[in-house]
Amino acid sequence: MKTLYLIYKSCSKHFAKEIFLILQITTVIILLNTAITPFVNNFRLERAVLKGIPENAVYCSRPTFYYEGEKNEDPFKIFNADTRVENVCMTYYTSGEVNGLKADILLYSKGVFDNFSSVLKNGHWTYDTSGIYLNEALQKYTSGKRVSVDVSDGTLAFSDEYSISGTTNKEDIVYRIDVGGSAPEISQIAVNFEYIRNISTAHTPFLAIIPFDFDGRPDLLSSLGGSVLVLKSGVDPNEYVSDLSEKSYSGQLCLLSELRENSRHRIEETYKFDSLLAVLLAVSAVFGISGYTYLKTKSLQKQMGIYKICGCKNTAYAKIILLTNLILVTVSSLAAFLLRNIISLGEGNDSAASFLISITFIVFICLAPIIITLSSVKRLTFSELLYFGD
Amino acid sequence: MSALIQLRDLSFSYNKGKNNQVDAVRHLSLEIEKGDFVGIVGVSGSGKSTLLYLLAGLLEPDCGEYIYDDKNITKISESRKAALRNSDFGFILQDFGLEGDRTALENVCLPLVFSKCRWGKMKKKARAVMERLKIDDLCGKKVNELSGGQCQRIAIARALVHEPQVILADEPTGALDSENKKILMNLLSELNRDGITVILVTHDVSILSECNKVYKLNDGEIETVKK
Repeated sequence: MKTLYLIYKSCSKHFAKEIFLILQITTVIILLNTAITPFVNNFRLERAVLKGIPENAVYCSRPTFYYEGEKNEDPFKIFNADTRVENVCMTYYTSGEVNGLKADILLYSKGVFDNFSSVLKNGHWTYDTSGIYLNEALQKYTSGKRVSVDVSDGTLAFSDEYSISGTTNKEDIVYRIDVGGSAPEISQIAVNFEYIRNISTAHTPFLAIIPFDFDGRPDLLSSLGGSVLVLKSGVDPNEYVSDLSEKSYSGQLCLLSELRENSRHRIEETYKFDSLLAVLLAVSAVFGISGYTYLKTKSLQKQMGIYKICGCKNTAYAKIILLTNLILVTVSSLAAFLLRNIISLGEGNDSAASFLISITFIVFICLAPIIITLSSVKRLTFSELLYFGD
Repeated sequence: MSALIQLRDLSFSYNKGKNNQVDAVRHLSLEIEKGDFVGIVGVSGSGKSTLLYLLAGLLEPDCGEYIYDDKNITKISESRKAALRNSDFGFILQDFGLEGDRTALENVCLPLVFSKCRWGKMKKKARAVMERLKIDDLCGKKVNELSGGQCQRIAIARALVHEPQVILADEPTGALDSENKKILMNLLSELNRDGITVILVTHDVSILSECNKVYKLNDGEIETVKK
């Protein structure tokens, strides 16, 4: 209560300066988020590729960025023209929990369930003949038949009409699957590429079609997403792509090397303005926001002297200033978080990682001057502290 | 019974070890009893205010010992010193040391904000002190709307609100006219008669008649004028 009172008293009349600072910080967060998103996504793509997306793969659509209208498109649509896809549909070997039990999980078309029934654990599984959906938005556009299967000692019992939705986390490609009817339980499964390679079927060049989306937002596809065709060993991705009808695929399928090149090319060509904006914002924020907090903290030094003679501890005063600024940054961040879903700036603007980077930057430039000022205060004599403002 | 304040061979220098080192207090030894009214005089730059800040634990002496109420202040932590200022010392400054954009009552309450005093009791205590000093009519007024004399009385109220044992006054009459000087000195004498130890630092010798002990500081060294 007393700390809140002191925080309130350290603010300006009618909070005018604080409101101005909140507006300034909010604007910087939104613009900085927009400006750095392409670069952050590019970095994450590179990292994801390095961490495990296989080399013998073909990537479909939206390698890095896409437009608003494309967010709700079915990432599997592009493969529907290939009859070979229909045969394989999805092959997943996964592990995770289903109905509260740890389990190895295979998800595939009905035929694969038949073939692999002996390795399936007993339980109630769901799968979809047109693939596991990336998110709820996609379900609207895909008319796959949803099926559930009960496995009991190698015997399968199929039934219809269950929904499956999937999202991913940052590290692995992990899907949350809603199992069950009206009150589905949520389970997590992770894709194991190595296993997929080993259990490939003879009649297809694919091992799997893996949708990927690094932000894991079921309601909105992130700018970094798409699908990957993991090919069988020995299948040349280049040959596979050239074998397809260009009309069907509109040149949207690409190889790993092209994916990287495309991403870099877009960074260099399209996002020059964004990089310039990012640099300008970072510089202006350092001078504007840091300058403001530095001057504000300096101007509070007389108050610090008065508090000191009244028995305030140094740490208590530092706490008051730091908390005041943390509250300002938190309010600004919340405002920016709410506004970033309303204000859509540029292409591929939405990224949780770049948003967090923007906020971290703001926290740093807000708090660094305060810490510098407070530590420099230690070197001041009491008279200098008390009569600083005079 | 030992003295309330004992300074033994206390020294303090600004910018110690640098070219511009200033020895503000040199090997100073002093004893102040409980209930004393001590005047410390000296010209500007003689080290009077520095001595006061040392007594309040706001500065760390370079050498020597400072014993207050049998506690060695030179050896206690910063936070304990702050707690001591909050419980035992009241400060009166030449420029009043008030926050201009706050009301008189808020300024008087300030030491209680840093104490364990409950929120509800703070204003009650502050009002009682202001009534005693006959400035309760200024409660709701902002400090920057008040005269120098009124401000100094609010500063005294703030110095008294947490019932300190010692009042440290740094040139308290510096910004006052002769009439307000008189009022202030009468007030300090009254407080002293109530048992509060008053240590007054000034260059104005005309206000020292109330003091039972007077010391003179000259270039950081002390000499007794009246004992």
